[in-house]
Amino acid sequence: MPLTISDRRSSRCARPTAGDLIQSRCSIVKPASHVLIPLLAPLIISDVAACVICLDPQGSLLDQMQTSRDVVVARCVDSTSGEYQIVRSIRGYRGRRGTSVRGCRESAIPFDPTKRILRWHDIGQFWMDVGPADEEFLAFAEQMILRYSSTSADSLSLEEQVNRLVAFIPFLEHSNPLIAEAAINRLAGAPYQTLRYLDAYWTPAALISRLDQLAEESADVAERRSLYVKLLGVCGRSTDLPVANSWIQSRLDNAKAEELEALLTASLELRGDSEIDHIATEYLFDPGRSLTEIAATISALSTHANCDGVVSQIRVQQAFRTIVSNRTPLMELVLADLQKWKDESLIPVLYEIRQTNAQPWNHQLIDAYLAAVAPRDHSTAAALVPDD
Amino acid sequence: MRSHTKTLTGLLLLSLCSPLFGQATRKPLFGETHIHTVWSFDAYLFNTRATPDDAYDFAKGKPLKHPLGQIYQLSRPLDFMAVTDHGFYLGAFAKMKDKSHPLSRNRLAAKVNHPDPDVMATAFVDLIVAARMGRPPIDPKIAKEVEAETWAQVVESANRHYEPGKFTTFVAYEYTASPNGQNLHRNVIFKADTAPPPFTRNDSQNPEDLWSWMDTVREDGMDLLAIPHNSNLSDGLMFERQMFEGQPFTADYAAKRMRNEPLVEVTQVKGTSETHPALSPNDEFADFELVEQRVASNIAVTKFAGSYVRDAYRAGLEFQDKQKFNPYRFGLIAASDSHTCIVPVEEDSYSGKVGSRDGSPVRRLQTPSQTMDMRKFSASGLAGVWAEQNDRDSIFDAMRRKETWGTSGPRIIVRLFGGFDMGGIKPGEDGWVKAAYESGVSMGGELKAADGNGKAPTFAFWALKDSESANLDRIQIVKGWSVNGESQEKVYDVSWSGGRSIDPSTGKLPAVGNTVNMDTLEYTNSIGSVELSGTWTDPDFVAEQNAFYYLRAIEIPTPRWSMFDAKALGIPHPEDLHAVIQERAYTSPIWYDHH
Repeated sequence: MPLTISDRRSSRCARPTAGDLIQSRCSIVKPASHVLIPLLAPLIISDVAACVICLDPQGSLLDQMQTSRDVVVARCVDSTSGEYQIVRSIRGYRGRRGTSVRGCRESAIPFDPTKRILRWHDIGQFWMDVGPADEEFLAFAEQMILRYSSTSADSLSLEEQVNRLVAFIPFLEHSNPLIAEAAINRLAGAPYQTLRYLDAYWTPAALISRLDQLAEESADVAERRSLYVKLLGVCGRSTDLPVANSWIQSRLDNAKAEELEALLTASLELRGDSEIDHIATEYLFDPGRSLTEIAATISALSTHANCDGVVSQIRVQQAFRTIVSNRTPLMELVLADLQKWKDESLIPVLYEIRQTNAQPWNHQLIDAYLAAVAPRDHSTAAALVPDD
Repeated sequence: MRSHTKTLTGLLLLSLCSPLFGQATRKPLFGETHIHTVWSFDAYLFNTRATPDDAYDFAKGKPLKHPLGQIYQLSRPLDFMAVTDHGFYLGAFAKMKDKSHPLSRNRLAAKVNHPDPDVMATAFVDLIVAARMGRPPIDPKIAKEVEAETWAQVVESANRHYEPGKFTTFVAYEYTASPNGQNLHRNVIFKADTAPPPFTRNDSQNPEDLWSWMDTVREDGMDLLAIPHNSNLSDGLMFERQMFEGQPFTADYAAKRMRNEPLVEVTQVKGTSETHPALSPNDEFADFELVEQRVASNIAVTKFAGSYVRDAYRAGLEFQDKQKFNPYRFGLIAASDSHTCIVPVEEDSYSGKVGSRDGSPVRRLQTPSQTMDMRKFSASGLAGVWAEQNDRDSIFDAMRRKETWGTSGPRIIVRLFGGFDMGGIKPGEDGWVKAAYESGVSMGGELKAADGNGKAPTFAFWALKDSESANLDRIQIVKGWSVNGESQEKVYDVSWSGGRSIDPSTGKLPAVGNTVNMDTLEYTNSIGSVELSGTWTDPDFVAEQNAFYYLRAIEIPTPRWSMFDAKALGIPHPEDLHAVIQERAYTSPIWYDHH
């Protein structure tokens, strides 16, 4: 498959679309380090992957190491004072071997005299104990960090992005949970377009077999299941569409809301535009569908509409436009995409909503939409009545 | 004639000066004792730009714009309000916008000032992680300066909006300790019009240090009290059976705690802290607006003991039995904890708690993946006090003596008296309140065994529905008692609407019914009562057992806010949420002391 398509996807400081909600989800849950406020969308902030849904600024342990300027391995010598002695530096210039530093750790983390990984917290200006220095994981992490000294996806070509993902594939099922978590997290957080270039690494039969095994396991494999379902769509389209299609459709019939996004993403991958009308009828405009199901459907459609290839953006745009017209209170789920696609046909509709003072909680979104999409001399934009 | 007039005038003056006259004329006042403005670091990040002035104006009945743009207005003004911005970094994030201020060059400023609110909000992560590690990212000296400067504005605004007799404000702030996300937050409320800059979590995360500071302030002539909130999110830490650092309780500790914390917030947006079904399995009303996560976290609460007030009352009795002191003899109040300056306590116009983050129906009802479940947030609560006047002294004194109650939003008025000689009192009849004060104690009070001579206490109670809300289903008295340091609890139905009878096989009163039309979300007051009252003598009283008694008044079922949001969105109501709830009010307890 040629790797010449330019698909540099930057989510830095960009208003996230529905697809982004799924593209960059949280990694493993580390309860003691989770602090959060309820926010709607994840972002990549400066060089630190921060999922603002859970406000876990770290992501996986590997993410934390890769996104910190300075990472060291240190031995905790005094838990009371928080004194650590640096054993070796993984990256950066702050940590010199043999130096004593004061480290901070969550109080829920018990004193551990073995080696630990510390990373430098730029905002707080302190060394932060982020986990045990498991030798196997360290070897993996150092290999990945050395291979990819820069973590910013912005500056990478699509080929480079895909190559980075390929490097993680052998570790997806690694017996070391830290390593497996890092690999799953990396692929699950990758732009969907890049996953399409991984189709040669699995067969649908192998993925289905693994998915069936995972169905018996606990809920904490949800991210792995979601990734494999999407990969099944990708692999199935290029190799064995009937098998993949059959499995996906059988699961869709009784899908839980939290599984729906991955299944619909795969279904769209397999069936393309022909699936859109069915999905819209079945999931977007069925008044019996929950908000979670609707949001998952919009996310799957958004993911495809923002990627070249399988699904026509115009068709998705039509479906989203119908949401604004017919299910107006749900418009905030689709406005960011429609604004990105500069859909001028909505200007009168949004103007009408704004004028009649309906959906007041959407006024800011509507104003932003009109400011971004309406031509400068558009009379409707000029005639907007301010809230004040 | 002249002499006779003089005598009458003298008698009138005498009666007016009598403490009992003042007590009997106490009036019910409703207020908000927990609300945040632009000066709170997190509210700023939630795009709230409303000031304390805006909050007070809103409480007085003026409209206010939500951070997402919609306008809200109370249907009735409130009687009092305490603006309680977070003391730590008070005003600091707003200062980062001021290019002439050193904070504009802080490492956090780029995010705080970012035009994208989602980026801006990630400053919260950096701040909390760093603060939790003991490395706050703002220079302590600068932070203190900004806090003091902003505090002066907080005080000035509270004083400017104070209209004795009409609307009362309090100088106040929130102390925001939460080690490991275990909520130990308190609102600190000053009685006077001056107050020193806040003692914050940057000074200490140990509430005992806060109380020491409060003692010092009080010794300087400025009375104040602290109201803990969201014990339900503390994972057992708020009402632990030991001190913060693990030492056993002492009598001094108990006295210090009760001197500084006479009240606890029993319900607010982040859930109800009365009790939990795991703690009160026989209480069919225990499953009410529960939130079971640590504060600002997706971590599930696993320790219910230590997290709820009824459990704390029971623990207090056990300590009283074993060690002759009770660290948990507090009264009840309620507030919202809104971070928008809008008081979001009405189900049909709930505006959320965290500004732009939950300001729309879609945002409120989205199933969270790894965040607090905002769908379980509650349109609650409101503070009630019995005070002689609508002024600072009267309301503060009511709080100090615990003559207070908390509601989940509706303005239900409740009254509870206890005594050993109240049999002749008929609540609701003329003069009953005066008689009750004369022969007993009001909610928050204490009955001494020595005054009863082994006689069971009688409780006189009364509840009046909110004129703009639903009728009342029932009044219950919740009793806890202790036998040799082992506590128990029981809920008694003592007055109810309709012709129902307690089922002798279950000991329970049948449900009142449900008039909610699930399509229109309308209900009718065709069931329930406008007013319920009566007297009740404890049938299970044992004179040698310490006990507490508090009143719970429960409305008939009405639609929960999530029903209104689901209807607005045209989606089914989430199956895992209660579609209808029974709003309620809780009074402070009356304690019976055998010892």
